[in-house]
Amino acid sequence: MYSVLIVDDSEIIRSVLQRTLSMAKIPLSNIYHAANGQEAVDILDNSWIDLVMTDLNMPVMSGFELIDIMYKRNDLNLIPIIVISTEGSALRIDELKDRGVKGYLRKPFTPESICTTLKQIFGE
Amino acid sequence: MDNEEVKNLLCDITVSVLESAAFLFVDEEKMAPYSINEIDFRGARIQFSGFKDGRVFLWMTEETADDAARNMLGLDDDYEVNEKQRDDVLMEILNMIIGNLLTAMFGENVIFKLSIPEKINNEETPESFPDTTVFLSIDEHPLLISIEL
Repeated sequence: MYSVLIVDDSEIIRSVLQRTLSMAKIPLSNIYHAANGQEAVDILDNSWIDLVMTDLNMPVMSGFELIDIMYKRNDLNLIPIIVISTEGSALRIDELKDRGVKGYLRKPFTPESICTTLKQIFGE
Repeated sequence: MDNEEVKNLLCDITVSVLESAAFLFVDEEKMAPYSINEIDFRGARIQFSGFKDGRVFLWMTEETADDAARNMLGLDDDYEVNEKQRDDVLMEILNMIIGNLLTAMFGENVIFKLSIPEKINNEETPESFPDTTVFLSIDEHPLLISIEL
């Protein structure tokens, strides 16, 4: 069973992702929500998380800062991260991959693309 | 890229985002410009900086925002969308449009910094729109998208 943390300042996008996760036939124990990077760090400090799905452009703490914090912390840098963003710059995507990001999906995403990426990461 | 090319690209991307993200289908015939005073719009804007600086604006009616929110959330037609959800869907659609637009206009090898989308108050909605404004219609409700470079 996997615990997933969804990080996006849009409550609607978090709900859409949660619904997609529920349909993906991946065994899930918990789905946590955070509206920015800081809320995500707080959850990561207090809960077991198997996967982080994060937006980049968010108030308070961006997805870039969250990814940087996770990359630098030994207790967090093995957690796979999928970025789900409108950002389309190849340079930026390369930068994120260098920071350990395992998957990148562009908004608007399809449920199928989310499922495919999840299955690649969880190996199912 | 001249204004007409920018508008065509903006139109294509807006139509594509509305269809794929919110299952909203834009009427083929584009609406002519009309008086802003006739319509009660909800607006949002986002700024970008980096390779080029500018702003993109999106205005839609409450009915369109409600339909988009219900469609994205997979809810029934009688679900009452709240104010927060209306603003959320407006800003998220704008966010998707600008991300895809900047890549289409300037390619994948440049980096832009995007601001957090913000709501525009009714008083800030201009009486006339810039030349790079696209006028669209969804179920007879107008939708406007505009870029300032």
